[in-house]
Amino acid sequence: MPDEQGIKRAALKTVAVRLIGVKVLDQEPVLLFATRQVEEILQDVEVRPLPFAPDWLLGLCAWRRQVLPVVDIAKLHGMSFSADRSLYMVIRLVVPAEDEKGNSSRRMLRCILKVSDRIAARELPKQCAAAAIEASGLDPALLKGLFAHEDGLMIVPNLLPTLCPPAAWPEPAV
Amino acid sequence: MKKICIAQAGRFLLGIAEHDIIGRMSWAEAASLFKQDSKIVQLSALFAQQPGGEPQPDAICLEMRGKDESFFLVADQLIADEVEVINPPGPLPPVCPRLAARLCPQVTIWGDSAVLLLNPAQIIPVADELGNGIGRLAAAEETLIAEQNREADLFGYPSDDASDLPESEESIFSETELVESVIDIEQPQGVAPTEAFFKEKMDDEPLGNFSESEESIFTETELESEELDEPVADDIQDTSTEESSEPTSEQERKETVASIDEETFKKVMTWTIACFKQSKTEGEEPHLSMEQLPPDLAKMVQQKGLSENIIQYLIDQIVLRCQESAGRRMPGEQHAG
Repeated sequence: MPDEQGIKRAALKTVAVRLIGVKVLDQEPVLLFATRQVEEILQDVEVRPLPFAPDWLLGLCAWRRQVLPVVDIAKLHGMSFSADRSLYMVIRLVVPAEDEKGNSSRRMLRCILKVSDRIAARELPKQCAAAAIEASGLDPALLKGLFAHEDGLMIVPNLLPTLCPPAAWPEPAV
Repeated sequence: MKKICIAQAGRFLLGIAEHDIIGRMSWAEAASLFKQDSKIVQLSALFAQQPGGEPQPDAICLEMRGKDESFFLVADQLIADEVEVINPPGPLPPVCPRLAARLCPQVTIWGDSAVLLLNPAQIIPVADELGNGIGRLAAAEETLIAEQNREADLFGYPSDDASDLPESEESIFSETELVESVIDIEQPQGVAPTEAFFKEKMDDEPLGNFSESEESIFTETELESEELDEPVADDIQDTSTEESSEPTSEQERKETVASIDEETFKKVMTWTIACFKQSKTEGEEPHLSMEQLPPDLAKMVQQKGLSENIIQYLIDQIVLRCQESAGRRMPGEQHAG
């Protein structure tokens, strides 16, 4: 469908994860991820715990010869879902970095999210309205957006501050 | 290529560089070797931010190189030894907690598992930082408590009485109970008992906190000039008892006394109880002598200049007490004192 400038765009594909048994602003929340962010969905993983970790950081997991942190996304947002079983999504993020010469570049960060088994691929809903983050009780720093939709409350999580806290970001060039 | 041993501590899987390890032994072996000031860290407790608990008998104890002196790590079990790290270790992901990154700055993969590579240099500083006894095991106290618990299990006495107490009170109660029971038999017959004195002392200070000057729980006299068939208990007296019973010989005795320090006493008691239980398991009557002491303990006794007779008497008395507790004392058998 052409947009306001008459340019025809393909609808953004998303992966939607419904958090069953949770209510935010009286709606069942649905986490939205861009399809390109999701590398794999695993049924089971061997999670090794980390000392001194908060409850949402479940531990570390070996995936394709890499060690990735495993995060309970619902707990990270102060919720807990009820599902028959959990699934694990391998997510990738692109974060700012510096190369050896100090030039700004980008690097790939990955993590594994523990989610409910209610996962569906869908197009980005077009008819939705921005919802008030403050009223939701969720941490604004952990959200990219919050949208009310007839299918549920769409949450676009911001994983960057969690996976790459500011202290780990590169120092700005002086 | 770097070699590591892989140990499990609670639910944590840890890689420890072989070159950092001086020695390894089972917890049961190691417990008797600790000195009073040994630094012992129970990894599962440290990582769970809890005070150290009694390790399982099959726990493994690693003696580690420290900056100034060695220290001990206790892990639940050794999973693999001499493992070559094929996957190059990488840093812990930035999401990981700061303390975790201090203790385990690197991580690698072994099989399908992520293994945290331990930085031994940070163990003691982190445990100190956390304070409150988190992760720490007290060598002598812990050994004593373990022995007492095992003895209570074996003989079915008195920890039931303490079962309603909070854990910390129960431990102190148990220690006092055990030491008093041994002290009790040290009282020479016919001499005013000093139990009240010891009880008062125990109430004031938990076991293991005696200062050097207060360690003379038992005293020994030089026996060379005395007949060996004399009851040795006469030579093991609390000085406060002597004041009341033999005031005239006090000065002479004070010049020749040497004390059995608490560390030796505990080690001899621990060893004797262990041997007694072993012989009980095998259905034999225990015949324990000074010569059977483990080499390190015998050496300690020798270095401290303690009389063999005194140590032998202590062993005999502990065995006797164990037999009494086990209800195995034969009719007509005389108390050695």
